[in-house]
Amino acid sequence: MKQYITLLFTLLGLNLLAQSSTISGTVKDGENGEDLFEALIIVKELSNTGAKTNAYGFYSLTLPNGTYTLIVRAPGYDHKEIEVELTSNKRMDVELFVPSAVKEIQEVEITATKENDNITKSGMAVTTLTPKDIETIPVIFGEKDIVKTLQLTPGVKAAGEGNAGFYVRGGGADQNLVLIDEAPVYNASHLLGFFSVFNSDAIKDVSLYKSGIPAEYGGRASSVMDVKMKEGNNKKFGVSGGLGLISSRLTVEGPIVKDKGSFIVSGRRSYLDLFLKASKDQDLKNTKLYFYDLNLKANYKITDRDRIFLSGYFGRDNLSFSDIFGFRWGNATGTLRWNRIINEKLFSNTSVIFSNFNYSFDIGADDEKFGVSASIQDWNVKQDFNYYANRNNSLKFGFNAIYHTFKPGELNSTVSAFNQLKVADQYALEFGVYAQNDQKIGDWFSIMYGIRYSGFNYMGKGTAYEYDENGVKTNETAYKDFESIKYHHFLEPRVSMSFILSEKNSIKLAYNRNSQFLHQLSNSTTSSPTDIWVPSTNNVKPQIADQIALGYYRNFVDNTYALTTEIYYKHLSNQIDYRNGANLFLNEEIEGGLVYGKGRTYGLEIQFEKRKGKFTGWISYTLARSLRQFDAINGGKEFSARQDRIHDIAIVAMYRVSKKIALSSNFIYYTGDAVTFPSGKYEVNGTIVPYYTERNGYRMPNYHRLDLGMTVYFKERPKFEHNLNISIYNVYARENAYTIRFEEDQDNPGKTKAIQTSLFRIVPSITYNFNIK
Amino acid sequence: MKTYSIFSLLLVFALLSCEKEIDVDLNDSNPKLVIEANYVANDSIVMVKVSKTGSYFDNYTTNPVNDAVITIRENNGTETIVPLSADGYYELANYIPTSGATYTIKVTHEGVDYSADSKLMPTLQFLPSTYVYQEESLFSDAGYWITYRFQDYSGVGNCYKLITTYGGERYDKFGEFSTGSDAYTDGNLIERPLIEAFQAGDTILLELQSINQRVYDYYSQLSSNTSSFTAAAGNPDYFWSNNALGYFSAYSYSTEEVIIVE
Repeated sequence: MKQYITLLFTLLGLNLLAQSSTISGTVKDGENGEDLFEALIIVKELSNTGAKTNAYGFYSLTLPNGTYTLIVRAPGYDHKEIEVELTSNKRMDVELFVPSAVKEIQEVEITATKENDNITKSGMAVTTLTPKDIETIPVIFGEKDIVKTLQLTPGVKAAGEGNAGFYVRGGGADQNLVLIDEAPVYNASHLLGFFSVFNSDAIKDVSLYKSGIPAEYGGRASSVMDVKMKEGNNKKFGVSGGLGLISSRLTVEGPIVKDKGSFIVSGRRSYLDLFLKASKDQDLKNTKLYFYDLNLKANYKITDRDRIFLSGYFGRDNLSFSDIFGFRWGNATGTLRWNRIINEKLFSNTSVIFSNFNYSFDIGADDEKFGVSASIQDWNVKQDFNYYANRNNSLKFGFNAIYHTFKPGELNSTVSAFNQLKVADQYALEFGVYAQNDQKIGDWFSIMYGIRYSGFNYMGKGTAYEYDENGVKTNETAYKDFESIKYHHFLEPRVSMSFILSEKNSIKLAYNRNSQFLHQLSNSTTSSPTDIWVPSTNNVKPQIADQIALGYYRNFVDNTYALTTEIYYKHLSNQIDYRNGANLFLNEEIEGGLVYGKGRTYGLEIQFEKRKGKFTGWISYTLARSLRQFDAINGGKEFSARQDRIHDIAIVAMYRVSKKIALSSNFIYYTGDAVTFPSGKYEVNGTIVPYYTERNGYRMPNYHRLDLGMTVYFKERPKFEHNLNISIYNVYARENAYTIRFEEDQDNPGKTKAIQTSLFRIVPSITYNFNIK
Repeated sequence: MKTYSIFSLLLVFALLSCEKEIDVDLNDSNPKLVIEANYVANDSIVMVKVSKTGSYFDNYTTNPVNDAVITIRENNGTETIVPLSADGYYELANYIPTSGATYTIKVTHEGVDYSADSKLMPTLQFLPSTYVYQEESLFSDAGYWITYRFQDYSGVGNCYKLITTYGGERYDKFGEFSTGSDAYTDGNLIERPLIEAFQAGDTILLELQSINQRVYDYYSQLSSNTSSFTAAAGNPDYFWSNNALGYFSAYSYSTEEVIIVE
């Protein structure tokens, strides 16, 4: 036994002999007290030695006793050099400041030292954005949207024109784990997909993991998008906001007790329907078309070591047409979190999380009305530990358990022709246990390795159905409350390695396995809130993704330019599709209509970025395939997934002309989505029907557009700053195909014509933003 | 889902969309054989229509096939030729049915055999229909609503298809309102409304075809696959061996005439 312990300690690089002490603490923004994530604490005297803050701004670094100069820095902040004499464990909280606008332009070169974190850190394929990064990038209707900016990075693709849904490395839109303050968001878009639910005024940062996904995350096959809300300014009150064409935003933040606690309330509401009020048409006048978001967060430091947070997100869409038709949907999430610094090496985060998504629509009024509603709801308990064993090893371990309640659909009606109908609720307990170590070995190698055990217990109360190979029900069994119907589980290894060739370049290699127990079924080609989330059951198999990725990273000219090249191969098991004629809507036996297959995606992603100076931006190119194979579809032959875009190019350029003016532009080009079109027609009982040859055998036309934007910063006063953002979406009015449908030619009966619908050509917009400090 | 068209409408007016006719290059170089075969047991007649698919955009023409060799046999009995009777139509009269038998039609064309089976189900018999006058509502026009009625046989797995004839036209659809199965209503008295309002003096002829499960599935797949928003556009599962399109239904029927009296 003893030798194993010795071996373990040797492996972890623990040096039991030397006298060492730990310096730990937090890194915050000195202006507003916000925690800084991934701030670096670098030891000047020791090469390749340092620590990084976790999501709550905590760091811990164990060093041999001595005197050191620590450099504390975070992107976008002035760095600090602090001399410390380390003889015993020490607490050191650091505040960093954003350089003032004047200094910003001059000092760019100075802050450049050691900005090669992209080269040296062990994780790969992480894209982190802050709302500041995207401030000037032009977007449709001027609605700043962090998700749409992520879509401009390699390997991340928009689900469609102006759509906030996204595909990562050929995976489905439901394979992305979208978290806001740890709470999963089941439908992350507004207005049928045109806007994401993330109000950028309330967002601190967003990290997107495409491969080498850390073991702390589980439950989705393709990616993790981790959105963190701002904590609110704990130094002073502030009001900021913006007026846009589609919506307006207002944020209030301030201290609860100065330096101890703060709050933020941020709201956004669209007012498209206000324009409709001006209409003479009574029906249009009574049409509602709006969404709103409300982000709330408060935190309080109870002791030097304990801090509690309460955060919530509420968003709702309402689409109703006069009295005839109403459609409402939205997410609500809540997170209660307790951070505790147990000791200088051990950090704990405990959270209780709630998440709910529901939709309802009703048709008719008064005594002739019928409505449908459905929801998914989670209660989630999560415990994470960060253990900073020594300067070469930092461990993370923990668990979480989610109790899911699915309400697949219920029909209520006052019309006698419609029966009351309720598809039975379903229940499941999903949980994960994980451990992961981020280890440095020498100056040139670091490895992050971890394992996650994911389990999913599909349980009663409910009825489990069995089906034969043709999807015909053969048996049904009733289960009592909490009685297990089917238990699925997987061990998921996650590894990523960095070979640091020099300060300027590195090679990284990652492997991860992810399982997914929840699946979104969609019976249409457009994304919709009515897409159904279903659990893995005795019939529905869990999806599994295995991904291997290799990357080469190089920085040029003092880290001004960064080149990222990654290749990946991903194998997907138990992908879900539909049997011919499957009915997904209000169907108790929906599982009989599903078929299972496999998929593979692979690709090359290149991004060349200019990171500093007046002129910044990037060019990204993705060459990728996303293929599926189902025995029951397309005669068993492999076919393109809808999102199989072979070429995808995005160019983002931002130019700070002066203190007052910033210009920006985007150009996007991608191969049209794979679609199924008929190849002929024939007659059945006198009706003409289409004849299809292969699944997704055709392509939509290629997509491209150019957007331009300009931000004018007005003269800044000590207490007030404001700017005006003007943008034009799709400047050269490219008519990109949103849908193509076929219909009989009215002038020439018997002939069929193809009609293309395009949504946005030249959409100018203007947004005014202000900040009262 | 019908709601999508309402969404689309809203989107169209709200979001500055535009539409135009475009050229789509569809691959229609390989026409496929289509076989529509019916054995109408009451009338002892076998009718087979053989054609090829046409180009998707062009005017539909039937592209009849006249050089097929067609036979029918009962269970594993002897084959009887179904001769060509008109352009693309093959017909055999006086072919006497056996209750509950399975029939096999084989079509040989250009050296390839296409065959399909179809089981004859017991005949569902109409019970007298009823009708009632309803005022105009959100869902319907004012007029007489007919409820057709029949008794389902327990434990048989009946399916049916309803054909209505009025105003001199025969409505032979395959959508969800005109076909049904007894998966949830086995052995029940079935009472269903016609999705159409009629006026006093109208004469409506109803034909209730007793079809088998496989034919019913074929019709439901065909109907869902022709919807323009389906995520899984495709042909119905092939009925014929060697993947010819179309179906083979051996069926019997009962009829009822409804005359609306004020």
